[in-house]
Amino acid sequence: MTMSNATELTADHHARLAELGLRVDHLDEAIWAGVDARLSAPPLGPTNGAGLLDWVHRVGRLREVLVAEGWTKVDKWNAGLVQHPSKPVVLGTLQGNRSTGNPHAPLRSDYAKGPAIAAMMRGNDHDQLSLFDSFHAHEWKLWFLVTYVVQEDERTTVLREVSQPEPTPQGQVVDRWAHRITLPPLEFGPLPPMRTAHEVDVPVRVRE
Amino acid sequence: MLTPSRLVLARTRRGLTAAELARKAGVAGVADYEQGRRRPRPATTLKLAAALGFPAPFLEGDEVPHVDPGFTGDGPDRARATAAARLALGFAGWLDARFALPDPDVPTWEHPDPETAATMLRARWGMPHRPAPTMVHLLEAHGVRVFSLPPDCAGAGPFSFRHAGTPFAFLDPADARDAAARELGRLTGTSDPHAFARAFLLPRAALLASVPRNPVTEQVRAHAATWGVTPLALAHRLHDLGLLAPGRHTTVCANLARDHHPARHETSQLLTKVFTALRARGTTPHHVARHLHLDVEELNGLLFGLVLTALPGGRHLTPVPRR
Repeated sequence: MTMSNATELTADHHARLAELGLRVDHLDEAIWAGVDARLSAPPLGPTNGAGLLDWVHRVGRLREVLVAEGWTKVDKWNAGLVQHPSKPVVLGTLQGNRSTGNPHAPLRSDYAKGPAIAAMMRGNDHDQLSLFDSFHAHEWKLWFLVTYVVQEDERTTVLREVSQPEPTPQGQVVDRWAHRITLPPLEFGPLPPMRTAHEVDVPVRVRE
Repeated sequence: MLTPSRLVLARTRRGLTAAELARKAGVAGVADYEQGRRRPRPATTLKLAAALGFPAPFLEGDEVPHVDPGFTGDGPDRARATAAARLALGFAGWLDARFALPDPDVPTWEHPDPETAATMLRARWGMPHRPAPTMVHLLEAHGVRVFSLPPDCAGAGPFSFRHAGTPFAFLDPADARDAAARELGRLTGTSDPHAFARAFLLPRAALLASVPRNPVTEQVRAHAATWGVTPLALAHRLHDLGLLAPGRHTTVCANLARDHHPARHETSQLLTKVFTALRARGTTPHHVARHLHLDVEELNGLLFGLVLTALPGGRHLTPVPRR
C-alpha cells in the first residue's frame, strides 16, 4: 500500500499514524534530535560520525517521547525498538535511500538487517486487510521510521516515512514493504550568513 | 566654608559611616558638620578631605544635585554607586560646556509593554529589523551619557536615571551589551527592563522572518552570532516566541551549557573622541579632575574600561574585563 507523494501533511497521514498510536510530532522530535546531533559531529571525527550520532539521538529521542506516553523500550539484541502499550506495534528506526518518502520509487534500507530485526519481521504479514488482523499475544508488527538525509549546499532535508517491511531474511537489505506511510520531507534551513551590524557614529564637536 | 551635603556625599562615596570617618580623620563631631550644626575649622576640613581622598575644595563647593537611579540588581554598594553618579553629573556638565554632544532622544512612554516599547524605539531610531550595533555607541548617539560603574561599587550592578532631561547609564564595560539594553528599557519607562532588552536585541518580527522553526543547535549558534547575543539568550527568546518547541529548547540549552561565551566588552566612542580632542589641546585627565575638584582616580573610575586613552603616569585604560 502506498500514499500519494504529498508535499504537506494531510488528514490521511495523521489518521494512518494514529492507527499505530503515533503522531507526526513524535517523528519530528526524533528527526530533529538526529539532525541536531549530526551537525555537532567533530570535523575530524570518523566519516560515519555524523550518521552515527544522528542514529543514536534519533533512536533516543523517539523512545524518549514514546516511553513518556506509555510505550516500552525493547533493548533485546540492541535493536533500539519501542513497543506500544496495547497495540501490536513495535517501532524502530531505519536509514532508507533517496526513494524514502516517495511512494512511486523503490525504497530500500541502506544496511542489511541483523538477526534481531529479521526475527521481529517474521510477524509482518502483508496479506492482512487491516494492520492488526494477525495480532496475537506474541506476534507483533514491526514498523520503521525510515529516514534519509539529503545535504545540498547548507540546506539539510530529511526524507521520511513510517513503513512496515515484509519479512526479510537476516543479512539482506529490506526492499519489500507491506505498508508505506510516506510523509513530506522535513526541511532544515541553512546556517545564516554572518552579518555585521551597521555601526553608528557618535558626533562630538569641540565648542569654540 | 564646608558644604555639609558635600561632606555626606564624599563620605558615602567612600562607603564610610560618620563614626568611621571620625576615627579615620581623627576628628570629632562629624555628624554635627554634616547636619550644619557646627562649622569645622580649615584645618579640620583638610583632615576630613585627606581622610576621604578628596581635594579640600571639593568639600567647599556648591550643592551637588541628587539623583534617583534605578538599579537592575539588589546588590550592595548602591549608596556608593549613587554618590559616584552624583559626581559624574559634574563631569557631564563640564563636558557639555566644552563639547557639542548628541541631544537626548530616549522618549518615555506611558504604560507600554516591553515588546511594544522596544519595537517603538527601534522604529524611532531607524533600525526596525537590523541587529543592534555596539550598544554603548547606540546609546551615546541618542544622547545617553554612558559611564563606567566604578570598580569599588561594582556590586551595585548597572543603573540609570535622568537628570535635567539627560539620560545617564552606568555600566560594566566588560559586560555592557545586555546591561545597556536593560538600562535603555528602564529609561523608556517599561515595566520589565529585562523583557525590553530581549525584545530590543532580538526583535520578534525579524526573528520570525529569519530563523527557521525549531532550529538545531548549530543554527542557534550561527543566528546568535549575527544578533550579537549569547546562543543561550537566543534559545530562550526563540522558545518564548514559539519558534523552539519545549523539548528541543531543552536539548539546545543542554548542548549550549557546555559552551563558553565570554561577555562582549564595549568601549565609549564619545569619551574616546572627547579625550582625544582634549589631549590634542594639551588637556590631561589630571587637568579635568583638578577642575572638578576630584582625585584623578575618581575620574578614572567613571571611565574604567570605556576609554582607550592615555592615563597619567603613562598607563593606558584598556578594556580588560574586571571579573
